[in-house]
Amino acid sequence: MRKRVMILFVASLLLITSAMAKTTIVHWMHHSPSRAMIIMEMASEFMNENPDVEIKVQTIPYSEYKTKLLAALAAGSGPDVAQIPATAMEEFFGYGLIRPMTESVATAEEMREKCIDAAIDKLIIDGQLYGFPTDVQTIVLFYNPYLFEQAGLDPYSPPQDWTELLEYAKELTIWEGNKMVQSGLGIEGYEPVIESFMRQAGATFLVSDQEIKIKYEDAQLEGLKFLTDAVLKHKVYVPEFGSRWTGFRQIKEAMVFGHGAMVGSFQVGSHPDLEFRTALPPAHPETGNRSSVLTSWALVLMSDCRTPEIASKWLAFISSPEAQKLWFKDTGELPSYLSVISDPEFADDPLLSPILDSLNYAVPTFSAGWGNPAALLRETAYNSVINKGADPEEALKKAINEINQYLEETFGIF
Amino acid sequence: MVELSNNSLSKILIAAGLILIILSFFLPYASGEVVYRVVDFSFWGAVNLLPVYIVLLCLFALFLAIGKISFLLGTAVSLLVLNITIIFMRTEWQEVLRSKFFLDFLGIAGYGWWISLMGSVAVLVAVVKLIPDKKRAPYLFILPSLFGVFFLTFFPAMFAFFISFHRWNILVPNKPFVGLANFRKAFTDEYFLRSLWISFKYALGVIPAKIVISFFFALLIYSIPKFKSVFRVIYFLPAVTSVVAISVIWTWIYHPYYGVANYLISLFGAEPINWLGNPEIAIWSVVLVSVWRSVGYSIIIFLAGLNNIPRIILEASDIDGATRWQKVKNIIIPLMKPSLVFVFITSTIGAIQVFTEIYMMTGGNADTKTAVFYIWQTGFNKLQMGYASSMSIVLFAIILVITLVQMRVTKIFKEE
Repeated sequence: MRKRVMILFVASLLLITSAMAKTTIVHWMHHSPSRAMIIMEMASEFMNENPDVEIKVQTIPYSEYKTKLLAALAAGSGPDVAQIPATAMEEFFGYGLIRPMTESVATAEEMREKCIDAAIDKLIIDGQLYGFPTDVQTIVLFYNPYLFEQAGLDPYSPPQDWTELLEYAKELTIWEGNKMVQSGLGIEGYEPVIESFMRQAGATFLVSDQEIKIKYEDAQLEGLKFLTDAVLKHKVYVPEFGSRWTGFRQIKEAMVFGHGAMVGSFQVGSHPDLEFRTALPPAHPETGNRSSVLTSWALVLMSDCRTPEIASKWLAFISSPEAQKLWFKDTGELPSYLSVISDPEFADDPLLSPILDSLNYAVPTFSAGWGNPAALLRETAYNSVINKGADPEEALKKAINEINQYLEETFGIF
Repeated sequence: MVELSNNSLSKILIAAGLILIILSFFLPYASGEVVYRVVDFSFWGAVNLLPVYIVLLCLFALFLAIGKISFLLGTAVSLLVLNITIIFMRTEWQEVLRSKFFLDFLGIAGYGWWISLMGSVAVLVAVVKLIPDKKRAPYLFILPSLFGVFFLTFFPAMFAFFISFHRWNILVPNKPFVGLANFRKAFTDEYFLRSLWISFKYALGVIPAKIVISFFFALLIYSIPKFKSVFRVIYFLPAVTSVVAISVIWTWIYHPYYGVANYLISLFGAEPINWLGNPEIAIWSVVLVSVWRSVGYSIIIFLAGLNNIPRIILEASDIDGATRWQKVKNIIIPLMKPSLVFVFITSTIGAIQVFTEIYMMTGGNADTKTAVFYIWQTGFNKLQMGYASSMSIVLFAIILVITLVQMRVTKIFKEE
């Protein structure tokens, strides 16, 4: 009798324990206070809706994120879901590190219909959806209407093409003797900005759709030369002026190109009198092209993920149209769903509407791979011209060779 | 010479251990999809594990008979190492040797492997017990540190040698052997050679400045006993502050527009300088910060050296009428040679390996990409760990040669 009671007790204990056991999903993302707050709220909401699921969010400082994720993946102790640069999708797919989303949650066709192509292109591999878009960013122009007015320019008319951009920048630059006291246009060679100018001039980068290799184009040189000439020849900005962000924050710089997410950054910790507006990137004077290079991250399922269906649901939840609105309002991360982009709620917002509009001109970056070879446009091409007086054409060709060497070494093994 | 007859526990352990090891030869060592016995493992596919085991067991018996304890210990350790390293012996496993795989191996390890492990441990414990207490105790005390040094320093360093001969992407299971290709690439890589030059430039800036400044301040603190402790603390403070915090603060000091550095030079009518952005001077700006940060540590070393100089010699020189400079030149500097050599060599090694200051202050821009920064970028950004390891080995060889030359030169200098 006693033995039976014991068996019954142990069996019921096991039953209760297994019933109480929750499905745990470990989620890794890079950290910013506002992002962390939103994701924690979303995790609570998701867990309330799915009481048998536990979401463990680990936010890691951006500077350490890639190294930590890499080490964890190599050790086989990575998370169930994580955000990775969209440029690394193809490479991770090749390594067998990521798995497609569960089809009952989302399919490639469905996402293609609902999202802009530039945000989703790199996330669909072999016709399957491998990631949801997150941290989508384009390049927009930030300008200071007060400094425009001071220089006799219309504060409601940002430059519309390259010619105007340069003219305005020159008008807005102020020197005191040998010292620049106000920069017309902050330029530091950020690679999505360089690539945007190159795209506007007509560059297409890839040799073909089938091959991950880039070609040299005159349009690339035109884009690069426009920016380097603005610094070296027209002197609308000089490296001695310091960080382009600080200059803009301190009302010492009239225009600067950056991601839409800088709206939040400029609103906090800048000069109290800072006023700024946003505008689409000026068009190329001949092509009329306003291309804005889109960079993004992807929310992916790791191949070791034990519960792909529920993990897919979780990722779909945090990147849904409702969630994207929240991300956009609180962190400046751009939406990728057409329904959010055209949401009337943002249409009249003078700061946010040009940023959303830039998505209509968005082009995905040519960059591919965990190492982000597009950075060589800055490191090898732009910096060599600005700092060492290298010939732009030679510097660009060298950068392209190095990019192709990286692409060959990275993707040649697949 | 060991006395086995008085140590019955050791006798039992050795007998049990040897029996377990021999027994394991008949049992499976791994039983996953395929069952592997000891004969299925070999070194580089050429030397079978079983004969190696038999040779080691025979040697063990021989050393036991002649009572050579150090040889016995060596053989016992080899038996244990052999058992643990079989994981590296199947070539098809080498493609998936990630840390999780080691755990997976424990899941598929067969009775034979576990029994052999227990046997090897028993034999090793027995041999250690045979060592007289007085001789054994110090080694047992340093054993935890030795383990730490072996697994966290020595093993990774040796492993770097191994992977430098492979195309080793940590995310790709297939890691083909490429011979010396990575080394050939390193010697022709324009950016690596440039980064080496930048590292040497940095070291050439840091080492003499650090030695001269810290020696000067150590001498001042030593000569003026008043507030000695206070000054010692003040100079040592930067050394205990986080490099990251220091780098952030100095980045602001160096800010071209709002930084204190440019404000100070502007008082003398100088033009603003782009301290961290101008490739001509960025590396020297970082050198200045490194020197400022590290002089405190060298001051402490020099002060220890100065305090070791016998007072009697200095007093005798006073009686002989030596001037202050004569005392420094003829007494203090010669007697401080051990401290000077120590600071000189450790500063050289540290300076060539600089990373954090560069990572934090310039991000490798403006011609400040030092060798270690470039190696880190190649490994963690381009995922080329094999190539990164080969570059670190080249750097290790360079540092080794420099250190040996330094030691030789300072020895000659000392003998003079």
